[in-house]
Amino acid sequence: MSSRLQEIFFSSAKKFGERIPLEEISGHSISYSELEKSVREKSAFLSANKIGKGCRVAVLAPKSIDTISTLFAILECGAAYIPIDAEIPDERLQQILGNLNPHALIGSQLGARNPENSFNLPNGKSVATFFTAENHSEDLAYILYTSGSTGAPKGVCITHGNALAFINWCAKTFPVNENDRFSSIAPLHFDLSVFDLYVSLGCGATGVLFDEATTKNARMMGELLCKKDISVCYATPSLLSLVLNFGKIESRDFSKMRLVLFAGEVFPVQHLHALMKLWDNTTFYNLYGPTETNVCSHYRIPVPIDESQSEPYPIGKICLHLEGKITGEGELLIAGENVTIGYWQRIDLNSKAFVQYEGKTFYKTGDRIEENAKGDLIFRGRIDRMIKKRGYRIEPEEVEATLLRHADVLEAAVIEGKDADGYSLIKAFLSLRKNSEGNLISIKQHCLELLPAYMIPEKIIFMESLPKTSSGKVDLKELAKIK
Amino acid sequence: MRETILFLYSHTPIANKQNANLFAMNKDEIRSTVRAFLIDNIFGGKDDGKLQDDTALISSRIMDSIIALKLVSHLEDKFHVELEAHEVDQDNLDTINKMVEFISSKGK
Repeated sequence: MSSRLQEIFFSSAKKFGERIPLEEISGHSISYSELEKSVREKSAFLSANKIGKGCRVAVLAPKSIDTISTLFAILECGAAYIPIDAEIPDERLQQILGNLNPHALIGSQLGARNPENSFNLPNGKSVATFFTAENHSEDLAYILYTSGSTGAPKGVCITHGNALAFINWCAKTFPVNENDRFSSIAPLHFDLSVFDLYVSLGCGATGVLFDEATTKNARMMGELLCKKDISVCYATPSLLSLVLNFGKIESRDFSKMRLVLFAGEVFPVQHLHALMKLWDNTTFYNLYGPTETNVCSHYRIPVPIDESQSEPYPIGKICLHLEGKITGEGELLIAGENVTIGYWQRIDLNSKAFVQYEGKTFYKTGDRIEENAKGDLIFRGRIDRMIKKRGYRIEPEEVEATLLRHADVLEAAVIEGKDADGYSLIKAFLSLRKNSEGNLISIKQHCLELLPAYMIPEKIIFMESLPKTSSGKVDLKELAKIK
Repeated sequence: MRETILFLYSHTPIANKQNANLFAMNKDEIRSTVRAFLIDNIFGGKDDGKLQDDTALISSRIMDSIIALKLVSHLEDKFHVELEAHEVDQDNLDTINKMVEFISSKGK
């Protein structure tokens, strides 16, 4: 069994040489042996530039065959990769790079962000800039940055062991094989992509890479999931609902789609059932788990469809290689091989996020969970204010802090709202300074300069002043009543 | 009676040419439909006068991809046009002006 993540790819390359591991939407593809050659050349180039064990390499590039061969090359030379959303605002990028202190920055579209002393990597358009930084943990495979409640993003550190435990569990649980065609929909900085890349290449299948512009166009997604003969699809419920409602999928043949996994948020039952009726050849699973644990529970949606089911389906049972506990307050704790070793250079957060119990380290998920009579777990919301939207996690405090930086904003409060289908959205309540010209467009533009797109409030409601509790704090419960 | 119905719904090129004014899209109507949709779905029903016909909507993220899709479905239903998947993008939908031009060109 592999002990390093990249060995999953190299062992498949040996076995499946001329098969196709990756294909872009344009149709451009590469064979396992060509990809291996590219990875080895890039890795040698990085090693020659002193990238090795304990190094961290930030990758700021859209999803492509070139980018993925760069990720494998970073692992192969012993370093960890950090995929960063190429679209994020400059200030946020600087926050991440400031916390990360990387040894190199690689990207294909660095543009104005591309500092001096940059080098072209072999086999593609990627450009690397090298820095000097201290080396740390040698076992890190990648770091994924997520929203942090203190106003700065935090990096979840995933070791080779963490990632392999998850991937090996997937390979045992889901019947995938070399004839499958996986969709890779999630961006690389989002942990759903770990399944798309490593589980598909591990079994010799083909991963079809969907770029970000395509994934935002549900009509295109409906067309391409069919035309690209996708058989295994891991996506958020909101993406699947959009494909159902806007993808014109009724008139297409989806008989090849045999496995759909969804995670990241609750799937409204009426949408899930409607999709199951159209894709009646498909097995559906609800997966659950924060980035810190990757998937930690799973539930196979029963067939035939139970029309009496009106509540969302359970998140199921804890994976056998992990351990779950529910505290007196109803919070789910998770221990085991998948669980992150902590946040990069954030000792303050690490002491709050983990708890020792019976000699084991448990991650505190912050999710309120109940167990039903069948022993399946049910998600009941958060114990804190965090919003889960389209699979992303948003700390309302971080959005509030950004809104308050707008010159016209006097007070700001952010809560979770729901759209007509039951999906989460971000609702911001604002009061403005006297005589200010603040308006929705200027507030949105302000957010766009400082926040990633998924953190920008969908609804902005202006008020004379925000309601307060008797202790003078903003009354969030009162705001929740406002439509 | 039957002949009249056939005439009105005829899609033969000759009939279209002869009755171009019957089938041509009214740009003002498209403009007011788009504007009403945006005010309702983004601006909470209140027109504060800041939404101009050339205000960037997608590139500025004022309109997210979900609202864009809902708007496209709404326009398709109302004006009996159909957009190809690749046409649902920023080039055609970024401003009210672009939408008016694009939707009216689909109706020709």
